[in-house]
Amino acid sequence: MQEKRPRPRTRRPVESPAAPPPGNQDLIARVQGYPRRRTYLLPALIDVQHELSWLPPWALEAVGVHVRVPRSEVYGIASSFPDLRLSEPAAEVTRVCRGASCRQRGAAAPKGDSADCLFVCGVGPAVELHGRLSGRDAPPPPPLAEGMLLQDGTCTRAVYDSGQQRSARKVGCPGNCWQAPAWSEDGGLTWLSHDGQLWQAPGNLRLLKNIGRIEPLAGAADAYQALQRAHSMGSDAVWRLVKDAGLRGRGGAYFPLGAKWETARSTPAARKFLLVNAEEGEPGIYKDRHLLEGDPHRVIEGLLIAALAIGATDVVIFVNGEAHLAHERLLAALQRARTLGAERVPVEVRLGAGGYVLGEETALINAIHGQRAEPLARPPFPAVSGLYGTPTVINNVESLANLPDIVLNGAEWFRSLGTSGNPGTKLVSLAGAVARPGLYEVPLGVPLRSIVHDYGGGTIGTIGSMLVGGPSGSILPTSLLDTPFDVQPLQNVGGVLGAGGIVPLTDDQCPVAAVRELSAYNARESCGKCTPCREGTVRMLHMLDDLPHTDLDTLDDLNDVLAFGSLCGLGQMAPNPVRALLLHFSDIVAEHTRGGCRFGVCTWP
Amino acid sequence: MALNVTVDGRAQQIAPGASVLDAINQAGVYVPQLCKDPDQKARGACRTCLVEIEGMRGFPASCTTPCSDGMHITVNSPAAERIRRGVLELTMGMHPDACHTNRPNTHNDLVDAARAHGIDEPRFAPLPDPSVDTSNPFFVLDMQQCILCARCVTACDEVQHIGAISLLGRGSVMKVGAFEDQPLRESICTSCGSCFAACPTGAIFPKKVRPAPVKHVDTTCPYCGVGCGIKLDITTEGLITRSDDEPSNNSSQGMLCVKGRFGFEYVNHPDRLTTPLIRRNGRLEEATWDEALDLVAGKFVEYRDSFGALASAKGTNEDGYVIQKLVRSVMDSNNVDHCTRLCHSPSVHAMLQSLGSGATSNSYVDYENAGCLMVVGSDSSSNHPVITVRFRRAVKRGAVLIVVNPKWTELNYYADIWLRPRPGTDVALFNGLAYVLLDEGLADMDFLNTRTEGFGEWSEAVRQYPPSRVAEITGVAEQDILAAARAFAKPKFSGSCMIWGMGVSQHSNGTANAHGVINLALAAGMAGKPGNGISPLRGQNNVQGCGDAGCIPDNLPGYQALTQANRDKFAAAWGQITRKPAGLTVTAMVEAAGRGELKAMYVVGENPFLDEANLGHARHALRELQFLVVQDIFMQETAHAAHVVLPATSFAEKEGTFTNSERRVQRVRTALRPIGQSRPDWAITSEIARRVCSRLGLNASQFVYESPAQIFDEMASLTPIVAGISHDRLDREGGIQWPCPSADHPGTPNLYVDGFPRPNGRARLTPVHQGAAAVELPDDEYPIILNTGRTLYHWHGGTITTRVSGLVDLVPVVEASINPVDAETYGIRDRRPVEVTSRRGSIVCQARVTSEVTRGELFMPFVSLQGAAANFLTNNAYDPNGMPEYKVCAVRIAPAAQPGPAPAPSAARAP
Repeated sequence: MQEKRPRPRTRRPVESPAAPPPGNQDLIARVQGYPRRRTYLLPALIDVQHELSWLPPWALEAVGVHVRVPRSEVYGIASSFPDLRLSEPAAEVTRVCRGASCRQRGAAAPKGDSADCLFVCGVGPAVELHGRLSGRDAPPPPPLAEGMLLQDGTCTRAVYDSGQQRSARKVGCPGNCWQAPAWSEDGGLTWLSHDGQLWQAPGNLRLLKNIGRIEPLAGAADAYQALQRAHSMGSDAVWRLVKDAGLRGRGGAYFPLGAKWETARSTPAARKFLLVNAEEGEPGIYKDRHLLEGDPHRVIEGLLIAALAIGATDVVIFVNGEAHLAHERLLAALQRARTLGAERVPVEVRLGAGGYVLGEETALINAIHGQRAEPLARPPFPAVSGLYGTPTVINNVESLANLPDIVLNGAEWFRSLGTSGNPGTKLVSLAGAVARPGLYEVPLGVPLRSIVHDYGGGTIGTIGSMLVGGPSGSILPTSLLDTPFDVQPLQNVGGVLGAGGIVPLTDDQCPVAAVRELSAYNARESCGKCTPCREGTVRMLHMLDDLPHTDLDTLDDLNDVLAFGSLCGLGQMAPNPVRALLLHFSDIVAEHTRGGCRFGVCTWP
Repeated sequence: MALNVTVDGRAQQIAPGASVLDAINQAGVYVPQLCKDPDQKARGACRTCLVEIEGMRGFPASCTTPCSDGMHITVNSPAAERIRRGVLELTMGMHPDACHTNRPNTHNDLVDAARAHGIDEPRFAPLPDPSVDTSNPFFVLDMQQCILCARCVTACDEVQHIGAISLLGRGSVMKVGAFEDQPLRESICTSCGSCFAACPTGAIFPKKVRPAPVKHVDTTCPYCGVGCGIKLDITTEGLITRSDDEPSNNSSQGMLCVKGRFGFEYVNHPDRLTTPLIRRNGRLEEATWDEALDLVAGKFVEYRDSFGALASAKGTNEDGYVIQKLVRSVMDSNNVDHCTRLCHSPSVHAMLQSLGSGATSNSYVDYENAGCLMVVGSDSSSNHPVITVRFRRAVKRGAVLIVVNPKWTELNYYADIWLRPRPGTDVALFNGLAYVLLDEGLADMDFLNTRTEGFGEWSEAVRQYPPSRVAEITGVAEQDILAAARAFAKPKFSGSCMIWGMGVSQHSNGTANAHGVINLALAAGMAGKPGNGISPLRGQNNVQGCGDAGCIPDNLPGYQALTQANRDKFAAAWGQITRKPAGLTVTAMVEAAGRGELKAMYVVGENPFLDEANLGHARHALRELQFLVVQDIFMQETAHAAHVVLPATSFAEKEGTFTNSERRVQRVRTALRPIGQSRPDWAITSEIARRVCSRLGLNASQFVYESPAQIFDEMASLTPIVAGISHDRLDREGGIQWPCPSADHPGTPNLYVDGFPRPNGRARLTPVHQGAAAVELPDDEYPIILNTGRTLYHWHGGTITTRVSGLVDLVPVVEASINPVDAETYGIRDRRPVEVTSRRGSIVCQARVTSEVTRGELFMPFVSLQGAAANFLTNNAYDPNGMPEYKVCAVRIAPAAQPGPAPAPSAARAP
């Protein structure tokens, strides 16, 4: 029938949810298997994306109906997580890593998508083709005999398919990313690679001592002995021990664990949470994955000791959504720990969906709550009111991995390495222009020069600058190579220790361009909640991109507004690399304000 | 124990728990606070309230920093100003110079802040952000003026709990938007306007621009029974420019729906009746008040013994009281009724019988605090939006929500259990739920034994409804019956609320249905405590009050029975009162008019030509009247058939009170002078009464009232439930919930705490049995059940809301919702015209194919749009209380030849 009049459009507010396309019953059943609570919003969305490779509208709605969150909120929350896809991806996705160390190592300009970091920095430059990571070229090992050990982790699998070796035992990687794929004929003491190089992990191994020697899921011979000892010591004694040992958080903030635990301990509550931060979102940092892949039982033991000391009734481990192998090994090890009777409190594992801002404690908590990935104002601090309103301690994986040895060997022992203000060792992710990029366990306080030369095997070419501390960190000149690798000494020279990422850059890399990339990252990763960071990081990027028209006083003001005005560390620390650049490379900056880049890197229209 | 702090050197005392910003505001020092909404928790996002605090590093945000004793706060220091200026420059830098200006009818806090900090031009050039959403008919969402303070999103998600808008994306590309970034009109936005009210920069601004207001009047919304507090802005010319929410109102807590927020265009509409009209030579012609009133008085005297009055559930308590006084003391009749007959009369009747009181037993706050809510036959999201917020809050706190409705409603998004019974089988369902309580030992036997009577007979009746039988009758799965019963009887915390609407009452077994739900609530002991309640949701803004005021044929004001003693009391006050038995209900009046037994009717603020079931028949019947007077604000369908039309004022042009669904009596206040020659209803009725009195030799001074306050005082003096309330007291204290027996009584949030107002203080369990599901069920000729109801955007028949252009824009046509399988069977396509026909009439409307309705059932709202009115189809079959069976009749549906107004309804048939 023809109609002459246009049909009126009537408002349909009471719109029932769209029916899922046929063939999705299993997925719907899985979604509906979650409890109908908002905290399961993100897990359900991750499940859906795992199945469908994106989040179509009907699926967002189905999840929303189930956890009783209106679909606009579901959409908005999903849009705050960079790894959740709200539009259908191309059939085959290629991602080229554009992180600092991969660029240093010759990453190509991307024809497809670029990634900020693929977290296999040691074997960069890295590319992800159709979901498979691949790194630099590497000659494969020869066929390995039984009894030989083959390093096997995410990074090594990026250069070699470990499945080809059936006889050798697959163990975690001891940190010699540069050598991958490497094998050992002497039980993990020394490592060989196809080009004939022999390598032994530099001394003072505590965190890394088992990795490469044990099958990860089996655990070390003394696994859970420290936990037993901790239980017999009791909560108070363990807390005091860790306080005396002076262990500071290894996620980048270096807040003393003993003090953080004390706040939670002294807040009366029926439930208390230990939230283990295994999100590890900072580009260039992959130490926590490494620990989880190579010695998961150690991490589990550490968190159970912490739970005891805090008086936690529950543990949640939040794992990066792309750390598949770490996640897999963690789950399997937890299962084993349960059968061993080690787990005395429930441990729940949650997956993330990206977001640098989750390094801020309250943003992590919000993500678990099923809210947007953005922080909350403090107070209240999480140790007083965190997950589900309970006192919550958030600890980094590396911090927790220190605990079994502290319990077994004591505070004095722990303090025998490192500095008095910051005792112990630190896992350093060293990449970029060094001969031996890898993961190294370094006593705090050793000079940067030692890390680059003694651990990293020296530089490739002449270095002109070093990125220390990631996007919230700094850029330092070679004149500061003697600076001790510790919080205060670095701060004194405008540097930032951060989570342990060090990337020396050759002298043909423009420091302004390098800092510009860090600023671009901060602008991309800003959650958007607060005006200084949301607007300021973009402005800062524009100013760096257009130095000829940038008033340096305005840039300075902007840095102050960011540092003092931002709601959380992402914005507060976004000025750090820029300030370091202005402090240490002022002549290069001045040259750029006059429209010149001696490296031939920066151009202006 | 107050804290002592200083703000820029000024000493302040502030309560513990207050923020530094609270102290600054108290001290009267200015600091920008762009993202801090007075009705929301601090967010700490805009960073414009940064200050210096001695002993704290940097520049903490004052909104999220708690005060401590001895704190020294510095707002105005060069260092703090510098940082704030930088933040403000970044904020201003978000947009082109739009943020320098105030949009009409909005205010821009950012402009104030920039001025205070001496910023003319920000140092940061604006980023383009062209996103402007003009899809909503009432307001524009303009990202070009948005500072992403998220107050709107918080208002939508966490205050109104609708969740239509959210922050989308992250970082500098973030915006405020809806699901899949669709235009607002396509989202679940209900245009409640909470976002609009919260926006500090005018990024959400109203489409209709009016001159600046000069006056603000606090009054009560005239739409639904929630009774939200509103603040009207009035210009010098007496135009309403804006309606704002009232955060301090206990019933609405600062919330409104689209009608309360944007629905007042009708008050100043050109269609308003401005002069009396008298029918001469078949046409209604303008007349003077004297002429009209004399004619009316004369005819009332002439037809005094065959007279009936329809009072207005939209009028005030005072209007209603005067009408029933006219009927009872002057017209010697009890033939007074109002539209409750068509709404909750079965519920009120059942409650009066079983519980002794005819109103909701709890307060709105009890819905929020309950551990279980059972919502039966009520699309409360459409009809009681602000009450529904309470339900959503309860669910977010872990309460279990059970929805009983044959059709899907928005509540289903939150429901834990959905019972979907066949229409008309509710008695079996509720008996079945009660069966489970008794069978599984979940009934509150203590309550039943000590506070009820009739257990024996009732439980015997219930025993005949085991879940297996009930499942067969109702179509509801046994396990759902069990789950619902268990959840209702044993909430994990607090109590359970039994809440119901028209799906219970608008049936030929409406009274039995009401008994069914009441019985279940009693069996679970859910009366008399905070967190539980027995709660019919009252529809009209003053349907509760109109009944309270006595506009019902079988009770005096305050539900006092028509006993000798009570009549004597009223006679003493009024001079005289009718001694006749209970009068006619409105539906009986219509039938009596059709038979020629009722000859004159006085219809005030009611529209039986649209509201009655089987309109063909009802109109025909009412056309038999010898004399029909319609008193209203618009020429509505009934007025077109009247002999005299009297122009009344709207709620905005008079003083008075409304009583809402939680028994709260609230003030209605004059905002503008009467339009044209209109007069308040109470004044018109009083004038008519005086003229009738003088013709009958009765004392006319009985109807001389100085003011509505005086009317209320008279009512209070005769009506125990409101005896302690007066306009004065309401002006001083805000709304008061009856019973309020004396001037120092605070009002009653929960009924039945100490007993039931029945002879022995006990509630009565009334056994009921499932009879026929309905009077007219589907057959081969008319194979589908028609269910009628309402829509959020139009108020009932639409007389008022069709005069609000934005609402008509949103819902311009009547839609018949039909199941996809049925659509396939009958060749119906979405959004195409369809003809729906019953034995009584036929209409053409638009199809809406959706699985919200089940197979074999249609749903239509009864609003009249473009000539289509569902009541041409409905069946005038009545429940024992006179309630028509709006919810069930048999129809057929077919694609219509062309769109357009309805063909004339088929010839009227006798019932």
